[in-house]
Amino acid sequence: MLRIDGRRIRAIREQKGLTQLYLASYVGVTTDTISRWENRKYPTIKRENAQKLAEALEVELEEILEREEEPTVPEPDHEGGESTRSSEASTPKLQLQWVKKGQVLVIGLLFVVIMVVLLYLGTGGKKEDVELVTATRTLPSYVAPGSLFPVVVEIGDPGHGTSVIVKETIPRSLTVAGYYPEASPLTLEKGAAHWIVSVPHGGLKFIYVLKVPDKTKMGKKLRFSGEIISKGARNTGVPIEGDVLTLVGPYHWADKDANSIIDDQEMLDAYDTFSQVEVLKPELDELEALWAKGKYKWAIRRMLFFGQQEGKDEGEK
Amino acid sequence: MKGKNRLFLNCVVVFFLLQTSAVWASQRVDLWCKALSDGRILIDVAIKDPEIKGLIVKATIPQKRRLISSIPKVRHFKDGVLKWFVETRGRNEVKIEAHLDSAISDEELHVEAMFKVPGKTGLMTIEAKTR
Repeated sequence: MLRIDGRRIRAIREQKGLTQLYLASYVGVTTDTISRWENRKYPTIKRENAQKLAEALEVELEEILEREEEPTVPEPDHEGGESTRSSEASTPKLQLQWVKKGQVLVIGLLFVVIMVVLLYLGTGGKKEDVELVTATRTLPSYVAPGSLFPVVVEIGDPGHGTSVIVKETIPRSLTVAGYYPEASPLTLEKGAAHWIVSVPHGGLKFIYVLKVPDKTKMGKKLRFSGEIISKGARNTGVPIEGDVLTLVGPYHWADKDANSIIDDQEMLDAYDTFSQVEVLKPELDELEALWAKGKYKWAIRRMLFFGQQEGKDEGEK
Repeated sequence: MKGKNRLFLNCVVVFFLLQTSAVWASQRVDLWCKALSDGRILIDVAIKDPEIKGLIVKATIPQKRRLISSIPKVRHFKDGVLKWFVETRGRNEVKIEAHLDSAISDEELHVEAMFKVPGKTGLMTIEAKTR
Protein backbone atom coordinates (compact mmCIF):
# COMPACT_ATOMS: atom_id res chain seq x y z
CA MET A 1 0.00 0.00 0.00
CA LEU A 2 1.20 3.52 -0.80
CA ARG A 3 0.26 6.86 0.75
CA ILE A 4 -1.01 9.26 -1.87
CA ASP A 5 -1.28 13.02 -1.90
CA GLY A 6 -4.96 13.66 -2.67
CA ARG A 7 -4.62 17.43 -3.02
CA ARG A 8 -1.82 17.03 -5.50
CA ILE A 9 -3.80 14.45 -7.49
CA ARG A 10 -6.73 16.84 -7.72
CA ALA A 11 -4.44 19.72 -8.71
CA ILE A 12 -2.77 17.71 -11.49
CA ARG A 13 -6.13 16.42 -12.71
CA GLU A 14 -7.65 19.90 -12.85
CA GLN A 15 -4.53 21.38 -14.42
CA LYS A 16 -4.68 18.78 -17.21
CA GLY A 17 -8.43 19.16 -17.64
CA LEU A 18 -9.16 15.52 -16.86
CA THR A 19 -12.43 14.32 -15.40
CA GLN A 20 -12.85 12.02 -12.43
CA LEU A 21 -14.72 9.73 -14.84
CA TYR A 22 -11.69 9.51 -17.13
CA LEU A 23 -9.40 8.62 -14.21
CA ALA A 24 -11.94 6.16 -12.84
CA SER A 25 -12.25 4.42 -16.23
CA TYR A 26 -8.49 4.31 -16.67
CA VAL A 27 -7.75 2.89 -13.22
CA GLY A 28 -10.81 0.65 -13.16
CA VAL A 29 -12.50 2.11 -10.06
CA THR A 30 -15.59 4.26 -9.49
CA THR A 31 -15.67 8.06 -9.55
CA ASP A 32 -16.54 7.92 -5.82
CA THR A 33 -13.21 6.23 -5.15
CA ILE A 34 -11.36 8.91 -7.10
CA SER A 35 -13.21 11.54 -5.08
CA ARG A 36 -12.27 9.81 -1.81
CA TRP A 37 -8.62 9.61 -2.87
CA GLU A 38 -8.62 13.30 -3.65
CA ASN A 39 -10.37 14.23 -0.41
CA ARG A 40 -7.96 12.06 1.58
CA LYS A 41 -10.70 9.82 2.86
CA TYR A 42 -8.68 6.91 1.50
CA PRO A 43 -5.10 8.06 2.11
CA THR A 44 -3.51 4.76 1.07
CA ILE A 45 -4.03 2.77 -2.14
CA LYS A 46 -2.66 -0.33 -3.80
CA ARG A 47 0.60 0.09 -5.72
CA GLU A 48 -0.95 -1.09 -9.01
CA ASN A 49 -3.77 1.44 -8.69
CA ALA A 50 -1.28 4.18 -7.86
CA GLN A 51 0.75 3.23 -10.94
CA LYS A 52 -2.34 3.38 -13.18
CA LEU A 53 -3.41 6.65 -11.61
CA ALA A 54 0.00 8.17 -12.34
CA GLU A 55 -0.21 6.90 -15.94
CA ALA A 56 -3.65 8.44 -16.35
CA LEU A 57 -2.37 11.73 -14.99
CA GLU A 58 0.76 11.43 -17.19
CA VAL A 59 3.13 11.96 -14.28
CA GLU A 60 5.70 9.86 -12.46
CA LEU A 61 4.41 7.73 -9.61
CA GLU A 62 6.47 9.69 -7.08
CA GLU A 63 4.64 12.87 -7.97
CA ILE A 64 1.35 11.67 -6.56
CA LEU A 65 2.78 10.05 -3.45
CA GLU A 66 2.71 11.89 -0.16
CA ARG A 67 6.11 13.38 0.38
CA GLU A 68 7.97 12.54 3.53
CA GLU A 69 8.83 15.70 5.46
CA GLU A 70 11.75 14.19 7.37
CA PRO A 71 14.48 14.65 4.74
CA THR A 72 13.75 18.36 4.35
CA VAL A 73 14.06 19.17 8.09
CA PRO A 74 17.46 19.07 9.75
CA GLU A 75 18.92 15.77 10.88
CA PRO A 76 17.43 14.61 14.17
CA ASP A 77 19.80 15.01 17.08
CA HIS A 78 21.27 11.76 18.15
CA GLU A 79 23.35 13.40 20.85
CA GLY A 80 22.18 15.86 23.49
CA GLY A 81 22.87 19.58 22.96
CA GLU A 82 22.92 19.38 19.20
CA SER A 83 19.26 20.22 18.78
CA THR A 84 19.51 23.89 19.81
CA ARG A 85 22.47 24.46 17.51
CA SER A 86 20.87 22.75 14.58
CA SER A 87 17.58 24.64 14.98
CA GLU A 88 19.47 27.93 15.11
CA ALA A 89 21.46 27.03 12.02
CA SER A 90 18.40 25.86 10.20
CA THR A 91 16.46 29.14 10.56
CA PRO A 92 18.21 30.99 7.66
CA LYS A 93 18.02 27.76 5.61
CA LEU A 94 14.30 27.55 6.20
CA GLN A 95 13.89 31.21 5.24
CA LEU A 96 15.85 30.56 2.07
CA GLN A 97 13.67 27.55 1.33
CA TRP A 98 10.55 29.65 1.78
CA VAL A 99 11.91 32.34 -0.56
CA LYS A 100 12.70 29.64 -3.12
CA LYS A 101 9.27 28.11 -2.66
CA GLY A 102 7.69 31.53 -3.17
CA GLN A 103 9.64 32.03 -6.38
CA VAL A 104 8.71 28.60 -7.66
CA LEU A 105 5.08 29.30 -6.78
CA VAL A 106 5.08 32.63 -8.65
CA ILE A 107 6.79 31.06 -11.70
CA GLY A 108 4.41 28.13 -11.55
CA LEU A 109 1.38 30.40 -11.37
CA LEU A 110 2.67 32.48 -14.28
CA PHE A 111 3.22 29.31 -16.29
CA VAL A 112 -0.29 28.08 -15.54
CA VAL A 113 -1.80 31.47 -16.51
CA ILE A 114 0.17 31.50 -19.79
CA MET A 115 -0.86 27.92 -20.56
CA VAL A 116 -4.53 28.68 -19.86
CA VAL A 117 -4.40 31.77 -22.11
CA LEU A 118 -2.67 29.81 -24.89
CA LEU A 119 -5.13 26.96 -24.58
CA TYR A 120 -8.04 29.41 -24.70
CA LEU A 121 -6.63 31.16 -27.77
CA GLY A 122 -5.75 27.88 -29.44
CA THR A 123 -9.27 26.55 -29.07
CA GLY A 124 -10.84 29.82 -30.16
CA GLY A 125 -12.48 30.13 -26.77
CA LYS A 126 -14.86 27.27 -27.53
CA LYS A 127 -13.47 24.72 -25.16
CA GLU A 128 -16.58 22.53 -25.03
CA ASP A 129 -16.79 22.24 -28.85
CA VAL A 130 -13.23 20.98 -29.28
CA GLU A 131 -13.32 18.48 -26.46
CA LEU A 132 -16.40 16.76 -27.81
CA VAL A 133 -14.99 13.68 -29.53
CA THR A 134 -17.62 11.60 -31.30
CA ALA A 135 -17.46 8.13 -32.83
CA THR A 136 -19.48 6.02 -35.22
CA ARG A 137 -19.60 2.25 -35.27
CA THR A 138 -19.88 0.19 -38.47
CA LEU A 139 -20.97 -3.43 -38.25
CA PRO A 140 -21.32 -6.03 -41.02
CA SER A 141 -24.90 -6.84 -42.04
CA TYR A 142 -24.31 -10.54 -41.32
CA VAL A 143 -21.70 -12.64 -39.61
CA ALA A 144 -21.36 -16.41 -39.90
CA PRO A 145 -21.03 -18.84 -36.98
CA GLY A 146 -17.43 -19.66 -36.17
CA SER A 147 -16.07 -16.74 -38.18
CA LEU A 148 -14.03 -13.67 -37.30
CA PHE A 149 -15.45 -10.30 -38.20
CA PRO A 150 -14.31 -6.69 -37.82
CA VAL A 151 -16.05 -3.81 -36.07
CA VAL A 152 -14.98 -0.32 -37.10
CA VAL A 153 -15.24 2.57 -34.65
CA GLU A 154 -14.53 5.73 -36.59
CA ILE A 155 -13.39 8.37 -34.11
CA GLY A 156 -13.99 11.93 -35.25
CA ASP A 157 -11.38 14.64 -35.51
CA PRO A 158 -10.58 15.85 -31.99
CA GLY A 159 -8.96 19.00 -33.40
CA HIS A 160 -5.61 17.99 -31.88
CA GLY A 161 -3.87 14.79 -30.89
CA THR A 162 -5.45 13.29 -27.80
CA SER A 163 -6.35 9.98 -26.25
CA VAL A 164 -9.81 8.63 -25.56
CA ILE A 165 -11.32 5.63 -23.87
CA VAL A 166 -13.43 3.48 -26.16
CA LYS A 167 -15.92 1.50 -24.06
CA GLU A 168 -17.81 -1.10 -26.01
CA THR A 169 -20.50 -3.40 -24.67
CA ILE A 170 -20.53 -6.47 -26.90
CA PRO A 171 -22.62 -9.66 -26.85
CA ARG A 172 -21.29 -11.90 -24.08
CA SER A 173 -20.85 -14.88 -26.38
CA LEU A 174 -18.28 -13.04 -28.57
CA THR A 175 -14.57 -12.85 -27.84
CA VAL A 176 -12.07 -10.20 -28.91
CA ALA A 177 -9.51 -11.71 -31.31
CA GLY A 178 -7.51 -8.56 -32.06
CA TYR A 179 -7.54 -4.83 -32.68
CA TYR A 180 -5.84 -2.18 -34.79
CA PRO A 181 -4.04 0.20 -34.42
CA GLU A 182 -1.99 -0.22 -31.24
CA ALA A 183 -4.04 0.63 -28.16
CA SER A 184 -3.97 -0.09 -24.43
CA PRO A 185 -6.64 -2.59 -23.52
CA LEU A 186 -8.26 -1.85 -20.15
CA THR A 187 -10.85 -4.61 -20.16
CA LEU A 188 -11.33 -7.46 -22.62
CA GLU A 189 -13.80 -9.56 -20.72
CA LYS A 190 -17.03 -11.21 -21.70
CA GLY A 191 -19.45 -8.50 -22.69
CA ALA A 192 -17.03 -5.60 -22.29
CA ALA A 193 -14.13 -4.30 -24.34
CA HIS A 194 -12.42 -1.08 -23.27
CA TRP A 195 -9.30 0.49 -24.74
CA ILE A 196 -7.33 3.69 -24.42
CA VAL A 197 -6.77 4.85 -27.97
CA SER A 198 -4.46 7.62 -29.17
CA VAL A 199 -6.32 9.71 -31.72
CA PRO A 200 -4.24 11.90 -34.03
CA HIS A 201 -5.37 15.16 -35.57
CA GLY A 202 -7.84 14.21 -38.28
CA GLY A 203 -9.44 11.28 -36.44
CA LEU A 204 -8.89 7.54 -36.57
CA LYS A 205 -10.52 4.28 -37.59
CA PHE A 206 -10.22 1.94 -34.62
CA ILE A 207 -10.88 -1.66 -35.63
CA TYR A 208 -11.47 -4.60 -33.35
CA VAL A 209 -12.03 -8.18 -34.45
CA LEU A 210 -14.54 -10.50 -32.79
CA LYS A 211 -14.99 -14.26 -32.96
CA VAL A 212 -18.46 -15.74 -33.25
CA PRO A 213 -18.82 -19.08 -31.42
CA ASP A 214 -19.26 -22.10 -33.68
CA LYS A 215 -22.68 -23.11 -32.42
CA THR A 216 -24.34 -19.71 -32.66
CA LYS A 217 -27.86 -20.05 -34.05
CA MET A 218 -28.71 -18.57 -37.43
CA GLY A 219 -30.83 -15.46 -37.15
CA LYS A 220 -29.51 -14.51 -33.72
CA LYS A 221 -29.27 -10.77 -33.19
CA LEU A 222 -25.98 -9.46 -31.85
CA ARG A 223 -26.41 -6.06 -30.19
CA PHE A 224 -23.71 -3.50 -29.52
CA SER A 225 -23.55 -0.30 -27.53
CA GLY A 226 -20.76 1.87 -26.26
CA GLU A 227 -19.43 5.26 -25.39
CA ILE A 228 -16.33 7.29 -25.90
CA ILE A 229 -14.74 9.18 -23.04
CA SER A 230 -12.42 12.02 -23.90
CA LYS A 231 -9.89 13.73 -21.72
CA GLY A 232 -11.90 16.94 -21.69
CA ALA A 233 -13.97 18.49 -18.97
CA ARG A 234 -17.17 16.70 -19.86
CA ASN A 235 -18.54 14.60 -17.07
CA THR A 236 -20.06 11.83 -19.14
CA GLY A 237 -19.05 9.75 -22.12
CA VAL A 238 -20.51 10.37 -25.57
CA PRO A 239 -22.52 7.41 -26.93
CA ILE A 240 -21.00 5.76 -30.01
CA GLU A 241 -23.41 6.26 -32.89
CA GLY A 242 -23.96 4.16 -36.00
CA ASP A 243 -24.78 0.46 -36.26
CA VAL A 244 -25.96 -1.36 -33.14
CA LEU A 245 -27.07 -4.68 -34.55
CA THR A 246 -25.72 -7.48 -36.72
CA LEU A 247 -27.35 -10.80 -37.55
CA VAL A 248 -25.90 -14.27 -37.55
CA GLY A 249 -26.44 -15.63 -41.07
CA PRO A 250 -24.86 -17.56 -43.94
CA TYR A 251 -23.11 -14.51 -45.43
CA HIS A 252 -19.56 -13.27 -45.35
CA TRP A 253 -19.00 -10.10 -43.28
CA ALA A 254 -17.63 -8.30 -46.35
CA ASP A 255 -20.75 -9.09 -48.39
CA LYS A 256 -22.52 -5.83 -47.57
CA ASP A 257 -25.62 -6.47 -49.66
CA ALA A 258 -25.84 -10.15 -48.57
CA ASN A 259 -26.29 -11.43 -52.14
CA SER A 260 -23.71 -14.27 -51.85
CA ILE A 261 -21.42 -12.44 -54.29
CA ILE A 262 -18.25 -10.61 -53.33
CA ASP A 263 -18.12 -7.90 -55.98
CA ASP A 264 -15.15 -5.70 -56.92
CA GLN A 265 -16.29 -2.85 -54.68
CA GLU A 266 -16.70 -5.10 -51.63
CA MET A 267 -13.33 -6.73 -52.27
CA LEU A 268 -11.46 -3.44 -52.55
CA ASP A 269 -13.38 -1.87 -49.64
CA ALA A 270 -12.44 -4.76 -47.37
CA TYR A 271 -8.84 -4.76 -48.48
CA ASP A 272 -8.53 -0.99 -48.14
CA THR A 273 -9.89 -0.93 -44.60
CA PHE A 274 -8.59 -4.15 -43.11
CA SER A 275 -5.32 -5.06 -44.85
CA GLN A 276 -3.33 -3.71 -41.87
CA VAL A 277 -5.19 -5.87 -39.34
CA GLU A 278 -2.91 -8.85 -38.78
CA VAL A 279 -5.59 -11.16 -37.36
CA LEU A 280 -7.76 -10.65 -40.47
CA LYS A 281 -5.06 -11.67 -43.01
CA PRO A 282 -6.41 -15.25 -43.43
CA GLU A 283 -9.93 -13.84 -43.72
CA LEU A 284 -8.81 -11.51 -46.53
CA ASP A 285 -7.13 -14.40 -48.37
CA GLU A 286 -10.39 -16.33 -48.13
CA LEU A 287 -12.28 -13.26 -49.31
CA GLU A 288 -10.03 -12.96 -52.37
CA ALA A 289 -10.78 -16.58 -53.26
CA LEU A 290 -14.54 -15.99 -52.90
CA TRP A 291 -14.31 -12.81 -55.01
CA ALA A 292 -12.43 -14.71 -57.72
CA LYS A 293 -15.05 -17.47 -57.85
CA GLY A 294 -17.94 -15.06 -58.30
CA LYS A 295 -20.54 -16.68 -56.02
CA TYR A 296 -20.10 -18.32 -52.67
CA LYS A 297 -22.08 -20.52 -50.30
CA TRP A 298 -21.97 -21.32 -46.62
CA ALA A 299 -21.35 -24.95 -45.75
CA ILE A 300 -23.37 -25.47 -42.58
CA ARG A 301 -21.69 -28.72 -41.49
CA ARG A 302 -18.13 -27.69 -42.27
CA MET A 303 -18.74 -24.14 -41.02
CA LEU A 304 -16.95 -22.46 -43.90
CA PHE A 305 -17.54 -20.52 -47.09
CA PHE A 306 -16.77 -22.05 -50.45
CA GLY A 307 -16.71 -20.44 -53.90
CA GLN A 308 -19.04 -21.47 -56.69
CA GLN A 309 -18.35 -20.68 -60.32
CA GLU A 310 -21.37 -20.24 -62.51
CA GLY A 311 -21.47 -22.25 -65.74
CA LYS A 312 -18.46 -23.87 -67.37
CA ASP A 313 -15.14 -22.45 -66.30
CA GLU A 314 -11.87 -22.11 -68.11
CA GLY A 315 -9.24 -22.43 -65.45
CA GLU A 316 -5.58 -21.72 -65.52
CA LYS A 317 -3.46 -24.76 -66.15
CA MET B 1 -35.13 25.26 -77.65
CA LYS B 2 -34.88 25.50 -73.89
CA GLY B 3 -34.99 21.71 -73.57
CA LYS B 4 -32.21 21.34 -76.13
CA ASN B 5 -30.08 23.89 -74.31
CA ARG B 6 -30.56 22.06 -71.04
CA LEU B 7 -29.67 18.75 -72.64
CA PHE B 8 -26.55 20.29 -74.16
CA LEU B 9 -25.54 21.76 -70.81
CA ASN B 10 -26.11 18.42 -69.07
CA CYS B 11 -23.95 16.69 -71.68
CA VAL B 12 -21.18 19.26 -71.16
CA VAL B 13 -21.33 18.77 -67.37
CA VAL B 14 -21.26 14.97 -67.66
CA PHE B 15 -18.39 15.11 -70.16
CA PHE B 16 -16.48 17.49 -67.86
CA LEU B 17 -17.05 15.22 -64.83
CA LEU B 18 -15.93 12.12 -66.74
CA GLN B 19 -12.82 13.92 -67.96
CA THR B 20 -12.02 15.18 -64.44
CA SER B 21 -12.52 11.69 -63.00
CA ALA B 22 -10.26 10.14 -65.66
CA VAL B 23 -7.55 12.75 -65.10
CA TRP B 24 -7.82 12.30 -61.34
CA ALA B 25 -7.52 8.51 -61.66
CA SER B 26 -4.54 8.75 -64.01
CA GLN B 27 -2.75 10.94 -61.49
CA ARG B 28 -2.78 7.98 -59.12
CA VAL B 29 -2.20 4.99 -61.39
CA ASP B 30 -0.74 4.54 -64.86
CA LEU B 31 -1.59 1.44 -66.87
CA TRP B 32 -0.06 0.11 -70.07
CA CYS B 33 -0.62 -3.08 -72.00
CA LYS B 34 0.94 -4.83 -74.99
CA ALA B 35 0.01 -7.95 -76.95
CA LEU B 36 3.07 -9.76 -78.35
CA SER B 37 3.26 -11.96 -81.44
CA ASP B 38 4.23 -15.05 -79.38
CA GLY B 39 0.87 -15.05 -77.55
CA ARG B 40 2.03 -13.19 -74.45
CA ILE B 41 0.23 -10.16 -73.08
CA LEU B 42 2.13 -7.72 -70.87
CA ILE B 43 0.50 -5.35 -68.42
CA ASP B 44 2.41 -2.68 -66.49
CA VAL B 45 0.85 -0.90 -63.52
CA ALA B 46 2.60 2.17 -62.06
CA ILE B 47 1.16 3.14 -58.67
CA LYS B 48 1.81 6.79 -57.91
CA ASP B 49 -0.34 7.04 -54.78
CA PRO B 50 1.16 5.08 -51.87
CA GLU B 51 -2.21 5.05 -50.10
CA ILE B 52 -3.57 2.61 -52.66
CA LYS B 53 -3.39 -0.79 -51.02
CA GLY B 54 -4.84 -3.03 -53.69
CA LEU B 55 -5.94 -3.07 -57.34
CA ILE B 56 -8.12 -5.23 -59.48
CA VAL B 57 -6.78 -5.61 -63.02
CA LYS B 58 -9.20 -6.88 -65.67
CA ALA B 59 -8.13 -7.93 -69.15
CA THR B 60 -10.62 -8.82 -71.88
CA ILE B 61 -9.45 -11.07 -74.71
CA PRO B 62 -11.32 -12.87 -77.51
CA GLN B 63 -13.41 -15.63 -75.96
CA LYS B 64 -11.88 -18.47 -78.00
CA ARG B 65 -8.40 -17.95 -76.58
CA ARG B 66 -7.15 -20.22 -73.81
CA LEU B 67 -4.81 -19.24 -71.03
CA ILE B 68 -1.54 -21.19 -70.73
CA SER B 69 0.07 -19.42 -67.78
CA SER B 70 0.10 -16.20 -65.85
CA ILE B 71 2.46 -14.44 -63.44
CA PRO B 72 1.08 -13.54 -60.95
CA LYS B 73 -1.50 -16.28 -60.94
CA VAL B 74 -4.80 -15.23 -62.50
CA ARG B 75 -7.62 -15.28 -59.94
CA HIS B 76 -10.52 -15.48 -62.37
CA PHE B 77 -10.86 -16.47 -66.04
CA LYS B 78 -14.27 -16.74 -67.60
CA ASP B 79 -15.88 -15.63 -70.87
CA GLY B 80 -12.64 -14.06 -72.07
CA VAL B 81 -12.22 -11.95 -68.92
CA LEU B 82 -9.09 -12.39 -66.81
CA LYS B 83 -8.95 -10.85 -63.34
CA TRP B 84 -6.06 -10.32 -60.98
CA PHE B 85 -6.03 -8.86 -57.51
CA VAL B 86 -2.79 -7.02 -56.90
CA GLU B 87 -1.69 -6.25 -53.36
CA THR B 88 0.58 -3.22 -53.74
CA ARG B 89 2.49 -3.73 -50.43
CA GLY B 90 4.25 -0.41 -50.86
CA ARG B 91 5.45 -1.25 -54.39
CA ASN B 92 5.16 1.45 -57.00
CA GLU B 93 5.20 -0.89 -59.98
CA VAL B 94 3.53 -4.20 -60.75
CA LYS B 95 4.06 -6.28 -63.89
CA ILE B 96 1.65 -8.92 -65.11
CA GLU B 97 2.48 -11.41 -67.85
CA ALA B 98 -0.06 -13.84 -69.24
CA HIS B 99 0.60 -16.42 -71.95
CA LEU B 100 -2.26 -17.29 -74.32
CA ASP B 101 -2.48 -20.25 -76.69
CA SER B 102 -2.14 -17.93 -79.71
CA ALA B 103 -1.35 -14.32 -80.44
CA ILE B 104 -3.90 -11.54 -80.33
CA SER B 105 -3.63 -7.98 -81.56
CA ASP B 106 -3.47 -4.84 -79.42
CA GLU B 107 -6.97 -3.97 -80.67
CA GLU B 108 -8.33 -7.27 -79.31
CA LEU B 109 -6.86 -6.63 -75.88
CA HIS B 110 -8.72 -4.38 -73.48
CA VAL B 111 -7.27 -3.81 -70.00
CA GLU B 112 -8.55 -1.74 -67.10
CA ALA B 113 -7.63 -1.35 -63.43
CA MET B 114 -9.93 -0.58 -60.53
CA PHE B 115 -8.82 0.77 -57.20
CA LYS B 116 -10.07 2.61 -54.18
CA VAL B 117 -8.63 5.80 -52.77
CA PRO B 118 -8.79 5.69 -48.95
CA GLY B 119 -11.44 7.95 -47.51
CA LYS B 120 -13.42 8.08 -50.75
CA THR B 121 -16.40 5.94 -51.57
CA GLY B 122 -16.67 4.27 -54.93
CA LEU B 123 -14.05 2.82 -57.20
CA MET B 124 -11.81 4.55 -59.68
CA THR B 125 -11.30 2.90 -63.03
CA ILE B 126 -8.51 3.56 -65.48
CA GLU B 127 -8.08 2.11 -68.95
CA ALA B 128 -4.72 0.91 -70.22
CA LYS B 129 -2.78 2.68 -72.94
CA THR B 130 -1.16 0.53 -75.58
CA ARG B 131 2.62 0.57 -75.72
